Amino acid sequence: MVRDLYLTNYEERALEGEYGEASAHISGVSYSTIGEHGREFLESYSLNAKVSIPTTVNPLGIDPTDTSDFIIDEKYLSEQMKIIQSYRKLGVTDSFTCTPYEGFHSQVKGSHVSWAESSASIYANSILDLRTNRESALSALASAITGKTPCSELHIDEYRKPSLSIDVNIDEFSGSMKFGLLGYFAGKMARGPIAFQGIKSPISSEAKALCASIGASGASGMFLINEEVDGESIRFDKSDLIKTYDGLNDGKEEEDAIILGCPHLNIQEIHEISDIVEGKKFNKRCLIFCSRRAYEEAKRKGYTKKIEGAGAKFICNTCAVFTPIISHLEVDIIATNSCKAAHYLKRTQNVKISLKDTHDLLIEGCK
Amino acid sequence: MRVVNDLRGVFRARGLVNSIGWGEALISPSPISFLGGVNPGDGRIIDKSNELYGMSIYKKVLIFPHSIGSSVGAYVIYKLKKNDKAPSAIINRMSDMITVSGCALAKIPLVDMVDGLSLIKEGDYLIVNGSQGFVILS
Repeated sequence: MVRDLYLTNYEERALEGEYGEASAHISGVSYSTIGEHGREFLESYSLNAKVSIPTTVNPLGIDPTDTSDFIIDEKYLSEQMKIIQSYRKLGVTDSFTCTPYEGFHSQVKGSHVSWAESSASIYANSILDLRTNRESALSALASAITGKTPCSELHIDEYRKPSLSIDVNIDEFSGSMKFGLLGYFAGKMARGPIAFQGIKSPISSEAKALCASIGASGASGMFLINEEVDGESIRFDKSDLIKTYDGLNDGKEEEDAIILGCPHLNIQEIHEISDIVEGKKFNKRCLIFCSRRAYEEAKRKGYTKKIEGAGAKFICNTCAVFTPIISHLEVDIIATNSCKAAHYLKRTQNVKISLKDTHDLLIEGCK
Repeated sequence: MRVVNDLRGVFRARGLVNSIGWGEALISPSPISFLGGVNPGDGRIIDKSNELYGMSIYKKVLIFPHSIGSSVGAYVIYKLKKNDKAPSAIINRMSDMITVSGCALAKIPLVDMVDGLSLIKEGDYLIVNGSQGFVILS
C-alpha cells in the first residue's frame, strides 16, 4: 500500500536547506570508556536503528585490525569489536577520530549539527561557524537516528553572545601549549561562550589545543576572538599561565614515554613533526595518535617514513588516553604536549605527567 | 521509604527525568566531570579537586551545579546504575546534556531549577519527583 508522506512546516523548511546540512558526531566508542554495559546497550540499540544523517564516530580503545606491537587482552579486543559492529549496523562512517572536522565533515556555515566529543563541538561552533550544543555521547546518538537536535542554547543567536571576556595579558602569545593552558583556565571560568581578548586568531593546531582544554576543564561550548562584549571581564596574566601549567605538570623528572595526538594530529602537524625528527632517533618510546585517513595521507607524502625511521610508532583510529596501550607501556611518567591528555591520563591511568611544548618535547626526546 | 513525619518544605523544580527517588542530600558546590571524576565501579568521587573527593554518591540525592568535561560522562552515569552504585536522584542547578541523557538512559530521577535549593543542607532527607517536578525536604 502506498501512502502519501506529509511533512510538517519545519520539515519542509529543513528539506529546503534553511537549517543548513545536518550531521552528527558520536562519542562513546572506546571500550575503555563505555565498558560492557555501554557495549550491551549499543548492541541492543543497533538492532532496530539506523542513522538518518551523515554521522562520524570517536576513536577506538584499540584498533582490532592493528595490534601488532601490543599484547591486548582478548576480552578487550572482542568487546571493542562488538562495539565497532554495533556502530557499523547503525550505519555510521567509520572515521574513528576525535577530529571529524579534518577530512570527514564539510557542512556549510551556519548548519545546525549535533556533535558530541567536547573538543569537536567547541571547534564546530568557534572555528567552523557550525551550530551545536555540547552534546553527550547519547544525545548525539539520538540526533544521528532522528536527524533532530533540541533547538536550545548554542543553536540560538542570543545564547551565542559571550557572557565572559578573558583579557590575555601575555606578550607573544602563540603555540599550542599556551593556547591549551589558556583554554584549561578559561573552561573553569564560564559555562557560556567566552570571548578572548588580546590574542591573535589561532592557527589550527593552536585552535585544537584551545578547544580540547576548554572541553576537559569545563562546560563552555564556544569561544570568540577579540569580540566586544558587555559583561564581566577577567585577566589571564603570566602568573595564571604558570599556575595552570603547574596544576597539570607533575614535576621535572625525566619522562619514560612521549604521547602526541590528543586531539588526533592532522597532516600539517605530522608534517611538522617529520621535519623536526628527520634523520634523528628517539631516546624513548614515542606514540603518535591520528586517524587512519591522516596516516595514509602522511604516508603518501613521505612524512611517516621519516617519523617511523626515527623510531616513533603511529597508532591509528585510537584514543591517546582511553586505551589499554597506555597501561601496557608500564611507564611512570608520560610526556605530552596536550593539556587534555594530561588532565585525563592523570585521572585514569595512574601515571605522572610531564607537560611540554611540542617543539621542546621533540628536540629533547629525539636526537 | 522512610515515613515523612516532619515536612520542612516542598520546592517546585523542573522535572527532567521521570520517576521518584529519595535519600540524603550530598552536595558538590563544584561541577562534576563523570568521566575521570567518578568511579563507576564503586560510586566514589575520584576527582581530587572536587569537594566530595573520596565520598560515595551511592543512594544519595546528589546535588551539583551541572556536568563538565567529556561527553562520555553520560555512559558513566549509565554504568553507575548498571553496577548498582548510582545516586537515587540528581538535582542540578541548571542541567546539561551529559546529565540529562545519562539519567534518562539510567532511569535516575533528575530535576533542576529548584526554588529553594539554597535551603537544602548536606544530609537533609529529600524526595525528588522528576515526573511532576518537585523536591520534598523532610
